[in-house]
Amino acid sequence: MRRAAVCLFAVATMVFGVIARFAVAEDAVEPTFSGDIVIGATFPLTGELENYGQSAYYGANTRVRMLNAAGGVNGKRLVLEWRDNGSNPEQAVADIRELVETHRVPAVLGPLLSDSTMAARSIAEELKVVVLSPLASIDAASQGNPWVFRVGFSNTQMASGMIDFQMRSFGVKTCGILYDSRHTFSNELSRVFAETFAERGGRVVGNYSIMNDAGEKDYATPLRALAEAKPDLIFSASYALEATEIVRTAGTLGIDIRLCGPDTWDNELVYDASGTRLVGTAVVSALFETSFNYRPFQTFYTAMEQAGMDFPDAQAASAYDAVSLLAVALEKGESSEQIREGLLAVRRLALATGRVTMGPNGNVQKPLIIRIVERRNNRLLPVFAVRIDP
Amino acid sequence: MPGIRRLALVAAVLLFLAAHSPAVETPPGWIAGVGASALEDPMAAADEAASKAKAELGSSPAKLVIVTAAQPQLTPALIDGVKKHFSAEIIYGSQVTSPLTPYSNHPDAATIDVAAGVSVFALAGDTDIATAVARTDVEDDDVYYNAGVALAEDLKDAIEASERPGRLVVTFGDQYTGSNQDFATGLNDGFGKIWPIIGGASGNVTAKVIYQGEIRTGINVAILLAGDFAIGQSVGEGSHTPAIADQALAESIGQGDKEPFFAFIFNCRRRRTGMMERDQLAEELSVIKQRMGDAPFFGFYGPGEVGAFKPGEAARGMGFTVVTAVLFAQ
Repeated sequence: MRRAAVCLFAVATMVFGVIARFAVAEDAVEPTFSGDIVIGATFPLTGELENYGQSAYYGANTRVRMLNAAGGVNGKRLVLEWRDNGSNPEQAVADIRELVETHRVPAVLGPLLSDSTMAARSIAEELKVVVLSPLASIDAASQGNPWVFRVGFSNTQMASGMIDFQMRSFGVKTCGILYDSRHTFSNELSRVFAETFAERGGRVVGNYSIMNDAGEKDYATPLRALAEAKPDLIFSASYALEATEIVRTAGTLGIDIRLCGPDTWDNELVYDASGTRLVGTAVVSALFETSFNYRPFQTFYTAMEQAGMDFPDAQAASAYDAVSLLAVALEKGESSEQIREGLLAVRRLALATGRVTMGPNGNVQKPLIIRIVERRNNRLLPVFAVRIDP
Repeated sequence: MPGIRRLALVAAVLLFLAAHSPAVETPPGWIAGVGASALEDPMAAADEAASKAKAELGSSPAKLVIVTAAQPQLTPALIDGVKKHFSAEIIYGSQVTSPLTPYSNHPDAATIDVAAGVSVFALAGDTDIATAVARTDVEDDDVYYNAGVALAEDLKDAIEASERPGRLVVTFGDQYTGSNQDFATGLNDGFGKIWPIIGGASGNVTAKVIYQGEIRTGINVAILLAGDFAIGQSVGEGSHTPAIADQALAESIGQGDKEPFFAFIFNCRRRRTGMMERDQLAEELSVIKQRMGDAPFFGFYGPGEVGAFKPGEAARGMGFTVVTAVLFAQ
């Protein structure tokens, strides 16, 4: 009961905030629509992963607003029917069932991340509803399931890109890995990273979970163990909250080994809360640099700033792009099957995070970007380093 | 005393070897000069650098001039300084993080955008030259790819028609790493076949680029050089150490059966920053000069590179690299 109340408050606050900003920013007369297209949406707006959910919520809503201001989709207003899954995969599945059975939605935006998307595979197939995850990275999320699609990087693409970058740019030969055994994304990414690193001729000196045998988080013990092995690099397959603790603990312990992380590290929480030890850390990102003359990205960035997001991030961009993809797919038709076919037909579509092609297995192919954290104007900010095309 | 005698003997041998070592063989059509100046005043620096470059051409009239300077120095006054020696329509160039010539890569420059010096490359002789420009400040989601295609299409006739055995396309402008992948793909697709291409980013769409004596922004420039030369190409990736540049040049030079007579070298500004922090910048210049011997080179440190890992491979847009194109007499 308390969680539900908190959820409602959080969502209401955010929705009100977004609507208020839009209302201030928008004086134009709203176009006339011939009806509504209602798409379901379930994100972790509260709970452990809410920092991702809230950014993505902003990104998705901003894109919907832009589309509707430009006349909607097929002459209809695009409406997202939101649910907060509280960072709980079971709730995400329940949300999808309720959205389909009650609101007859042909597609659901979300779940956002890997655990919930993996949990949603069965119900997507059972209900024959398109499930489009903006950020799920686990390789198996969409494989073999015709109804599940992803906009984010796969774990294989992230591991491969980061390893190539580290080996080529810094001559890295040995690495240690930290992961969070509670999450399927982290378990798979740490395994894929270790396998890929070894395949490329590197040596993995240790692969430790931040969860100890008692089921508690312990950052110092695995970090000390890795530090003793003196690897050239520590890669951590973790979410933002844990990333900040890993970086801070490394700083406290005086561990001066190069750090890097996946796209989950490319989040404002990490940049704001990790401390100066973060400088020099490389993160996988979906974002170009604001100075780049790439119009879809600039349009996204400006729109997000106008919507009140001071630090438009990769999660917002991925959700924004997911809505763009849905809008393009909806032009083919508004049934689940037609949306599915529309998504599969996407080729070199210019989205905020780059040119996107949908692969036959429901995984997008798009450029992977690596950013390195620098100190600029007394703030830690990620700065574009390289772009790695698929 | 015996030690001093030994030293004197070694010095004499070295002097003899230097005097009798084979001179760099330069093809008859290639008459080039490279000049540099560390003066702060843009016009005076340009005047000095252009004067040095022109002196190396002798009485041969220049057909192409490429000027590099730090962004604050790249002003109309700088162009005026170059125009004291060369006509405006053959002057091209770019803002750079730092020039890279035998004379300096300006290790004293502490940050980007400081007055890092002016460098001038001038080419005379009967090398065939064609130039093209494409705008990037236009509303186009595929602007960099299309700029590459447009440049290649403009140069296509010239590159196909030249009867010279060697061809090299040199490019610079708005091709920041991240967008230079699309740009390089566009060049390759526009040509429809693989030609040797090398380039460096001046910056993003706001970067100052010189095209036919005018300072512009939002453009990419490509220059075709066709002459009696063969080309070695390579890429050194990442790692901020000078050894990467050394390795790339060694690979390029190893692809020829003669000593190189010239090289274009475009280098990553992040590599430069890393080396500067470790006081290795002068060392990088030193290893490049050692590899090139008496042969001059021209290029710069900037925010993106276009190059090929070896001859015959398609050029790619890159970052964190040093890209080299070494010329050998045919």
